[in-house]
Amino acid sequence: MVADPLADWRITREPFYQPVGHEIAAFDAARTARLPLLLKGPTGCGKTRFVEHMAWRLQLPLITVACHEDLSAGDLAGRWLLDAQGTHWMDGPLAQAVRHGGLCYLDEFMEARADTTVLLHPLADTRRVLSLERHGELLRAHPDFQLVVSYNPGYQGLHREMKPSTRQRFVALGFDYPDPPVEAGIVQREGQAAPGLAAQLVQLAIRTRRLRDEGLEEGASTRMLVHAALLAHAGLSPMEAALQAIAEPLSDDPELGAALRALVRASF
Amino acid sequence: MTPSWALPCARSCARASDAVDAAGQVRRVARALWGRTVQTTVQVGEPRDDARSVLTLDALTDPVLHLPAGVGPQGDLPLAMAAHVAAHLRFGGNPQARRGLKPVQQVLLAVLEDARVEWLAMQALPGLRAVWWPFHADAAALQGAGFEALLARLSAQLLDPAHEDPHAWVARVRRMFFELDGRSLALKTPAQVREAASLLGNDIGQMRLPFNARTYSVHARYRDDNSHLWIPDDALPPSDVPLQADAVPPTDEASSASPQPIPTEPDAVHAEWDHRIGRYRPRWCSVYGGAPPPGPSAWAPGALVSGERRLARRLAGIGGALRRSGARAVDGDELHPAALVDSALDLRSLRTPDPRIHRRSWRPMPPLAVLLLLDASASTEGNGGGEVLARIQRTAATASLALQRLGHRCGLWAFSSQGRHRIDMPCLQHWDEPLPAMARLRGAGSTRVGAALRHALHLSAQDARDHPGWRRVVVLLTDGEPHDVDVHDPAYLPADLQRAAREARAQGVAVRALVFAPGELGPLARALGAGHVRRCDTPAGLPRAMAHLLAPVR
Repeated sequence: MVADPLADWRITREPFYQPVGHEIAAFDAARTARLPLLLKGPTGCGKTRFVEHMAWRLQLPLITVACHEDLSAGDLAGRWLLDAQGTHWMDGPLAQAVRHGGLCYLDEFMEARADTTVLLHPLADTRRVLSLERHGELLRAHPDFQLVVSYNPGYQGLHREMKPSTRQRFVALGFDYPDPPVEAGIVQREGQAAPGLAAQLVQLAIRTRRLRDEGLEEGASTRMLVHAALLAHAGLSPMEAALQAIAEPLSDDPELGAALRALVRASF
Repeated sequence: MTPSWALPCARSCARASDAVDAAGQVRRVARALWGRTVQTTVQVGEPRDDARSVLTLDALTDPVLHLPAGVGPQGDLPLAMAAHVAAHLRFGGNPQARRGLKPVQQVLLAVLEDARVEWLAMQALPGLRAVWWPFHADAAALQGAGFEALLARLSAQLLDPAHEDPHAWVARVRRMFFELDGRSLALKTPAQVREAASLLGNDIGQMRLPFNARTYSVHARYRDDNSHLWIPDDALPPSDVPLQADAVPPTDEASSASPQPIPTEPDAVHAEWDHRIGRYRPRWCSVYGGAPPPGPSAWAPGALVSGERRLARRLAGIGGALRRSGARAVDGDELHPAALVDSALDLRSLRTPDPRIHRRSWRPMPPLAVLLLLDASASTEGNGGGEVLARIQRTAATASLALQRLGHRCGLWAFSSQGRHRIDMPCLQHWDEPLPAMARLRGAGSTRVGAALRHALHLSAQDARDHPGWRRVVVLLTDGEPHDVDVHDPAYLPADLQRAAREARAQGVAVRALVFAPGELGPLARALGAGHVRRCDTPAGLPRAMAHLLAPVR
């Protein structure tokens, strides 16, 4: 047995995170009460960064699983593998975190297949157990185990809705894009942008978010603004940077694309 | 992504599809810039160079920008128009009285107000100067000396303070418009603009420059005619710009005959079950197809987007039966027994085993072919407002969009009857078509629902011949119980509906019903089965109700 089986998942350098409310205290409280946490919010608004920051702050190893439509319960819990000696069991990422004590972060959880939900139920309530049916094991959670899942309620994708039986096992924190001055501060710091450019990018993002009513899935995220700022820092003009980092990636639809390019053109 | 139905008055703009695209583009951009909603439409008539947009303000509805005919989506014109109208809506003041200002002063006020709102817009969006300038550059270069040419030169001068027009009067206005630094705005409010216009108009009078207000049109093509700056004055002759809203729609082949030609031959004649004799009456009900009558658009562009999104998300969660793939996969939920045996053999014979030893299981939603059957009888017209029918129609359109987004097939038919010889079933959306622009339906006639269902089964079976393999569903959207003018036995039509539902089951078609308030579930639940009928009282309840109806369809 290795001394620290999750050593690779420990975060040693502080990830930058700009608190926008009381989310750090809220996370701490959920952690103390050993309650699973649900993070809701649009993509690119800082959910993943927040979890990384909290894992660093709490000195917990962080196992992140990016969920996708093919992710099944077996992918999370573990499965039998075959080698020269026969079959052997290998823990999935969730089972590893439960067994050894760590923060398991299921990103965009509602993208995963429906059978994963069932796996979480006994883990997310007072039982705190993970049933590894195929392995014939009932795994009791390590005291350090913490479950965090995120999902994006506004996302237009075709994932499922969360059932009340799942929803009510979690405590939830709502995330949104930060207020314009805070968001500009983040863009300025992370994207190494001048204050004026950061503020202009944030205003552009607010304008793209209004296109949601016209069928755009999501407006520009804070992450995209940072990308645009980094491109501008690397030498592109602000307009080129915004086209490349914001307007083009946001939509393939010709009409929305034209509207996005028009917004960029008007902004710089 | 704007579906074609989202475009205003698509029928009358059908000939100028470019203009329709431009209208959508202007609407999207104008809305996004400052979050002020504006609807757009296209003026009727032939494209003319001097035609300008008209912005109409109405306290009860969103502002509407009527674009000149022939505006294409290419180039910067849609952006320039959108940014200009958005600037008016964001920074403009209330409409003013024309009283007290001569025509020359009114025109000057409009030019100064355009410059003022554009200056304010450019503070937030510096890229706009480059977008607007090309529309002014020719006037600035030509340096005409008539009053209209001076107005155009003045517009160019006020748009770009760095450009220096040599004309003394233009320079004088420039000094009034900007602060001493030559860049900051001096005329900050509409009241200051009015005062300046009044003063400058007197100059023009002294310069003895002629001006014809009737033929004047703003020089820059992207600007509107500024009629919205003024309080409407009934004493003035009405504008000669034919706007969409009050114009006669163009007569083309589709709509030339005002009453729809009544088809003389029915599309189909179906049998009907008579419970009193315990037999079918053969060739009893005549069903006529055709297109729905034209009319104004049933809903504002983009009105269904959020409802569709919610419904699609809900329906996406419906799983079908569990399926185990027979294929071998590198990873999966369970081991593939045959692959394990092969793998063991490989190992013993010192060959490298195939890593694909798992198999996967999943629950795909079966692909559905849903026929939505809308009750357009007189009862859905309600107290004359057509409120129930409007809800039914919006719900059906939302459901169709959501189902198509999820990859299902969907068709929309409405029905109403006037006795057994005349059952109308116009097709609102044919299978696989994108949802067309839809005129608001008018409720009339009665509800001979059994005959409508039989015809729906017939249409579904027709489609099944070309597209086999889809799970067939008919969803009836109605406000109540069967009724028709030539039937006096209250048990007759419910019994026929029950019989038609049994025929549907025999054909493997699932029949479901969505009942709208104030309708009752009872009669339909008896005919179709209690689990197959749901109420839908509010738009918010639609996703739940539809998921409930479609989930057990396997």
